[in-house]
Order: sequence, then C-alpha cells, then structure tokens
Amino acid sequence: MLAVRGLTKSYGGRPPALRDVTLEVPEGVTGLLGPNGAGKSTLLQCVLGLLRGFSGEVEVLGVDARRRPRDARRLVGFMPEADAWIPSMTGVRAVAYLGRLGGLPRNEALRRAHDVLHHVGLGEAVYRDVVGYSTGMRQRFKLAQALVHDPALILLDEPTSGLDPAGRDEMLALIANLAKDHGKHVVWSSHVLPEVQRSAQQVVVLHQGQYRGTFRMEDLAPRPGLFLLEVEGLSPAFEVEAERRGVRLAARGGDEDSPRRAFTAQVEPSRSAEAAGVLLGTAAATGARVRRLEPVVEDLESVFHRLLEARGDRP
Amino acid sequence: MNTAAPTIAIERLSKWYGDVLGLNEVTADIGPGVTGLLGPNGAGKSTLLKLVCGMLRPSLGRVRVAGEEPFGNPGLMRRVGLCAEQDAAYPGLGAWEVLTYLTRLHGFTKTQARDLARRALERVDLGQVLERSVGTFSKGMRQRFKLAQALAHDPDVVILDEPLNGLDPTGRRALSEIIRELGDEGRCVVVSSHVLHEVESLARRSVFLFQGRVLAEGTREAIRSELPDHPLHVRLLTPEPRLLAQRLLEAPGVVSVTTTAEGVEALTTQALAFFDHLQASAGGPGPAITAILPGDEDLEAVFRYLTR
Amino acid sequence: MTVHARGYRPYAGLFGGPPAWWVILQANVEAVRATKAMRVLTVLLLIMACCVGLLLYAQIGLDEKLAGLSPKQAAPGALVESSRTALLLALRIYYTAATTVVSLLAILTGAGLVADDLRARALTLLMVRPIRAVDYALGKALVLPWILLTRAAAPGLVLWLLAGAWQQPGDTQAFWEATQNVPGAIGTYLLLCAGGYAGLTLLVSAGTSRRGVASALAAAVIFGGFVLRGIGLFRDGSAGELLRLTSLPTNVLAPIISPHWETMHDKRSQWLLDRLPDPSGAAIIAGGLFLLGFLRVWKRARSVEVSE
Repeated sequence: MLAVRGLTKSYGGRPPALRDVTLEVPEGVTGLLGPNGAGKSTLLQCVLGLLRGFSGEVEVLGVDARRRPRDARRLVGFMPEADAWIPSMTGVRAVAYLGRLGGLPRNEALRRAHDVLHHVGLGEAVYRDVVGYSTGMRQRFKLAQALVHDPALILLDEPTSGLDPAGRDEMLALIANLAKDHGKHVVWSSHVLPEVQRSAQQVVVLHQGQYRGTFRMEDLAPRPGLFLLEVEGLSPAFEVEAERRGVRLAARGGDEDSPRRAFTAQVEPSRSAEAAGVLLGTAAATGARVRRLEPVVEDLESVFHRLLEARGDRP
Repeated sequence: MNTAAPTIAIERLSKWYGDVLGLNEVTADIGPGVTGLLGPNGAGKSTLLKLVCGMLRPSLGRVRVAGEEPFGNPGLMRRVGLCAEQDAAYPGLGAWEVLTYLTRLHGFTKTQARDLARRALERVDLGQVLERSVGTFSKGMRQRFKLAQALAHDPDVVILDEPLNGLDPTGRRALSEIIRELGDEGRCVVVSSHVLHEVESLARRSVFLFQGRVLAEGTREAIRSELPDHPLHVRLLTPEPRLLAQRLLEAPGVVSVTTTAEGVEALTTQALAFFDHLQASAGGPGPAITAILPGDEDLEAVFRYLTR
Repeated sequence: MTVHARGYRPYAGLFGGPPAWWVILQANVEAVRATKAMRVLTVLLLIMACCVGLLLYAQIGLDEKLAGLSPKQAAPGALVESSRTALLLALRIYYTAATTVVSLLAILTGAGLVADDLRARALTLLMVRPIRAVDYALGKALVLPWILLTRAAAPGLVLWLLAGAWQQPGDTQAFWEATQNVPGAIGTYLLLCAGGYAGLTLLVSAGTSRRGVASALAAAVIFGGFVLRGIGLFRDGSAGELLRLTSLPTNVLAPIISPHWETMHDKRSQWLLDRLPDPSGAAIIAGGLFLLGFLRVWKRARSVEVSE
C-alpha cells in the first residue's frame, strides 16, 4: 500500500531525520510509532509529497510521491495534530473549500462537505465559525476535512490528542468504521499505545531516524502461567493457601486498606489451564472472592520498548 | 513550622469567574499517596488545583492543605510543589541555574538551593544536562524540568497538572515511575489528567470532576459498586461456552447471558453474589473457567457511566 | 423499498474544476468582501464616486453658463478643453480618495491575507491537497488586484464615458479624443496599485502569524514613505529623486494627477509637477514589491511543515 525505499533526509548539520529507511506499510490500520524525534513527522511529510531534498523512493498506492506529488496527495487525506482551521469560514464552507482544492466541482464540494461533517457528528455546528468550536469539535472538523475528497489513504497525526474519554471512544470508532466498512487505509501516528493496540492491525516503529520493524497485533504473545488477579475479602490464609497449591503471588501496589487487592499470580506454564480452578478454589476455601482473573498477554508497550532497545542503544 | 500530615481537605468549595462557574460545591478529602483528578476538558480540574495552591481565592467554601488555608499563605507553599500545565518561558540560563534560583525563592540559602536543585534534576534524569539552557530542551525534557521544579524544595504535597501531556511512550514511562515513587514515599500527590488509562496505572484513588462538580471519589472498584443501575458486565473464558451459559442462567442477579466462540458474556445486577456463586461451583464438576474478565470496571467505563 | 446505509458514503461524482489558484482567489476575495472594513470602505467609495460625478456634471453645466451659451448655440469644440480640465480634476479627487481607501484596505484586511492563515495553521490543511505552492501564492497575490478592478478602475472609466455623454451634441467624439489618454492613465494606476499594494501586503503578511504586527508594518511603510517623500520634495539631486519614490500612494497616483497639474499653469503646480515620482522608478518599485511578496508567500507555502 505504502512503500518506502532507502529514504534518507537530513536537515543540514544535525543527525539525519531519516536514515536509509526501507519499509512497506500493509493495508488496513497501521500505527506509526516512535519517540519524539524518531522521524515520524518527516515520514508523513514525505508521504504527502511535501518533503524536498531527500534521497530514496516513496510510493503511495502505486504513485511515486516524489515525482508526482500532486497525484499522490489526491489519494491521501491528512489530519494534522495541531489545531488548524481556515480563517473566517464556517465549518461547512472551509471543508467545501478544501474539497474544491482536492478536485471536487463546486456544488459537489458543498454537498460532500455536509456529508462528511455529518458523518463525524458535527451536526448543526457546521454553520458556525470554526474558531468558536470546542477541542472535540475541532478534532472532528479536522477529520472531516481529511475525508472530503474520499481519499483511499488517511494519515492521522495524534487524532485523539486533547479529547476526553467519550471523545476518544468516538474518534476511535470513526477510524475503525472507515477502515472496516469502507476499505480505507489508515496510517496513524500516535504516542498512546493502548489505543493503537486496540484499533490497529499492525504498527511500524521508527527510532532515531531508523526503521525498527513492523509488528502485527495478532502476534502479541500470551504469557502462559501468568495471571492478573484481583481479590476481595482477603485474609492472610489466602496467600498461604495459594502458595501451598503452587501459585506464586506478587502484590501489585495499591492501598493496604482497600477492600480489593491486586496480584500477579504465577503457576508453572504447564499448569496454566488448571490455574483458574486452583485460584477460585483457594478463594472459596479462605472466604475470599476473586473479581478478576486475567491471563497476561504481552502488551504493545513492552513490544514497543523491546523494538526500541533492539540494537542496544538507549531509548 | 507546620507539621500536620500532608492532606488536602476540600469543603463545599465553589469558584466562579464573573458569571462563569468554574467549580460548584466541591467536597473531597485527599490523603497521602497518588490520587487521580479526572475529568474532561473544562471540568474544573485546573481551577481546583489553582485553589489548592493558593493561586486563586475561593468564592465560597474552604480548602485546607495540611490544615491551613493556602490563599495568601506563602509560608505554606514551602510544603507544596506544583507542576503547572503550561510551559513557562525561561531566560536563556542553564537548567541548574534556573532551578537554583527558583528554589531560593522558598527561602533556602544559595548552597542549599544549589544542592536541592541538583538532586531534583538528577531525580528526573536531567543530571547530564545541568548546564544546558532550558530553552533548548525538547518537550519531554521540559516536562521533566517542570517536575524537578515542583520537587526541588522537597514538598510533601505535590500537585501535577497533566504531567504526561504530549510525552512519548518512553517519557511517559519514566515520569510515571517517578510519580509512583513519590506516592510510595508517603507524599500527597494529585495528578490531573483526561487520559484515563494513564491514571489507571498511577493512582488507586480518583476524584471525578464533571462540569464543576465532583461526581465520585474513591477507588474505581468502590465507585463502580456504587453504580447499581449499571449491571456488571463479566466475560468468562471457557472451552465449553454453551454449557457454562446454561449454568450461569441460574446465577444470582443475571439479566443476560451471551455465548461467544471462546466464552460467555454475562450481565449481573448482584455482583457479589454472582462471584460467590461462580467460585462455589468452580470446584465441582462442569465447564472449567479459564479467565474472569470484568468488562466495565476500568476507569473509562466508570467515567462513562458517571457522565451519561 | 430501499434502505440506505447510514454513515460514511464514498464519493461517486466526478473530479475536476477550475485551477487551484482560481479557487483560492475566489475564496479569499469572498472572505475579504465579507469583512466590515471592506463593506464600509466600499460604501464610502460609492458615495465618493457619486459626489465626484455630480461635481463633474455641475462643472460642465457651469462652464456652459459662463460661456453665456444656451445649450444649442455653442460653437463645436469650444467647451471641450474646460470639460477636460473638469474631468481631470474629478479623477484626481476620486483617485486620491480611492488610494486612501486602498491604503486602509491593505492595512486592515490585506495584512491578514497570509498572517491569518499562519495563525490558523491553514497551510497544513491547504498544502496537503493536490495543489502547488505557486497556486497558493498566485491566489493570494491576485486578491487585492481583483478587488481594485471593480472598486477603483470601473468608476474612473464610467466618469470618463459620462463626461463625454454630457458634452454639447456633436462634441462627444471630440471630447473622447481630447481625453484619450485617460483610460491608459487609469490602467497604469491600476497596475501600479495592484503590484505595489499586493506586494507590500503579502510581504508583511507572510512574515508573521500576528495580523496586528503585519498591519502595523504595512502602515509604517505607507505612512513612513509619505513622510520620506515630503523630505525628498526639498532635496535636489538623486537623493531627492530616490526619496520622492518612497511614498507608495503618491507613486500610484502620479499617472492620474500629473495630467491635471499639466492643465494648471501656476508656479506651485509646476513645482509639484516637477517633483512627482519618476514613472519608471515607480513601476520598478511596484513590480519589485509584487515579485518579492509573491516569492515570500511561495516560499512560505513550499516549506510548510505538516507536524511539529
């Protein structure tokens, strides 16, 4: 879908922003991860055909973004992270204007602007000046303008930044819907790993201007024998009894006086299947109550840090 | 000097700006350890924190930090450290120099201040760049610097307004670690955030603000159990979903059971009895349960229920 | 019956439309037109045009009266010269007002053309479309000229045509011949004005994201130039010549006012006439400003950073 070969870009003097990056972004939703200064911005700039003075090849959906940048941009919608609007225009006017610049005829642009603004849930606010929008509404506006010309690839730069929990959920749902039901490809630059883990199919990791690998979410490995445990009505007998039945418990912080305590429970990997039964039995025998028993699966955060540290240099 | 325990007592506290109500009769007690201050943008988090730091005068009600009212009480600030949300502009001086100066404002001698500033910078992992100008710091380093500035005079009440905002995952991890340590040292640490899962791992207790009011305070489980209108959603993994589903229909308070490929999803209105039942029948014959996953006990779910 | 899916819909229509610079020009002209300053100034200009028209009409009638002729008795061509003087005066008055208005427009609205975009980070939305930086620069550069075309050029030409129509029967043709260089002068005015003012506004506007700063800069250049020219009036040699070229309003007005002064044979007019800015110098300044402004905006658009 998106192919980068041997991409190198330096801004005079400083260490290069990207060093010989070769990567292939598959279809679907892809997280673009990396610490600050990893080169994510430069990569986005390049995919949009707005980077100059670099070496290497970039192909967006089969279009050479270096030689035909405008053709590439026709296929791409971009949602910037920072607040952005068009001065003295209402929401619908601004989106229609951007749609026209994206190649839509005048009337179609206006109609389409209503379509996408409605889809992102801006409702009646579309007739108001964007300057008066709240953070959440501005975020929606930015998503709508990225969709107005119906691009095949959508680039999102921290789409949930500044949103409250409900706003985050809705933004993630919108993104998921575009990918799943409308076949859009999404490349999503983010620092919020749990969100990416939930919504992306794979992540591409950059670090210090270098490509550090692609990781598919389905490859997140289970950790056999390891459980997260939350217990209520705990008595010292529970821990003793658990130990006796071959479960090692480690407390996971928290208040001593809270009625519920959290542990990491570990059994021999071979006994993984029966661990739940053992723990439930232990609780029943000691008058405690198990409220959560969750097999530990590697999370994206640890994969991410593993990829960063892969070459032995400090993150 | 004041030696009362590091606590924050907030009593029917209201604050308005002109006609705009920022905080509406907030009552909460915050003790030692890390407490999350949660709420969407505009909920009143920053207003509350400013009141606690004595930067604003309450319109109504009282706030007491370690037993004293903070407004117009600069002496109390010796015990309070604030990491504000905004980035301040610093002159082109080195980090150590700036922080020494700021620390001296708390009444330390120059030598003491230099020593404290150095220790604070080392604690936040800026020990390598003591002489570098703060203006040249990256976002993550500035955030650390702000934390160091909050900690330099060794306060036991630490107020952190959106401390993880804009940090990359590496920065978040490092700063979270420091914040957790502060709580474990017995300081009263308040962390405001609108990114809930960030706080989930930091704070056991939370205060939920919404539209200027406190919606709830306590641990998430305690708050969750106070929301009986929302039946608890539990996911159980088992190799025999259909069999387990049949069993669960008899469990107390169950209002619905759905089977999936890997298990069963149940809704129950009587959480305690439900789990006791589950546990009691686990020992006996029948389908084995391999995991118990409460579906809506996390902060996000609690927050959703509180605000809708 | 058909049930349509809700939610996102793919676009099924055609692509295509006018070139991007045209779309940008149109959108910006529309936005400028909607501003309060523009509305007020347009009304002022309209009133001005009507007043000057009336004045011209009265002057032509008065000349006939003074010649003691009833309209039917005049010798062919006898009054053409005095009508020409009247028209030149009318044009001088109107264009002096128009130039003031254009100066104000440049300061009030023009300065925001790019500065507002920078503040709104609009370039990160615009330049990610299939357009070139040159489209953006061209669209912005043509906004003021486009507005000038209707506000400044049209009324002058209408006055010229009307003055002809108001002549004695049979003199109309002779009058237009006698004043045949008027359209050319208006055209020159328009070009100088378009180039100079558009260039100036783009130049100051692309340098800052604060419109106030851009406005102040534009005002400083316009008024400062006016003062410098005043000094230049009393200097001889090439220094005086150069100083007299610094006033943008005077530069653009020269082609309109010099024909009028030529008709007045007093010493003061002659003195001023000798000290009008050099036409080729004025043209170089206008063209240079336009080019610089255009290049500045083009570079700004080309170097847009989509994230920070």
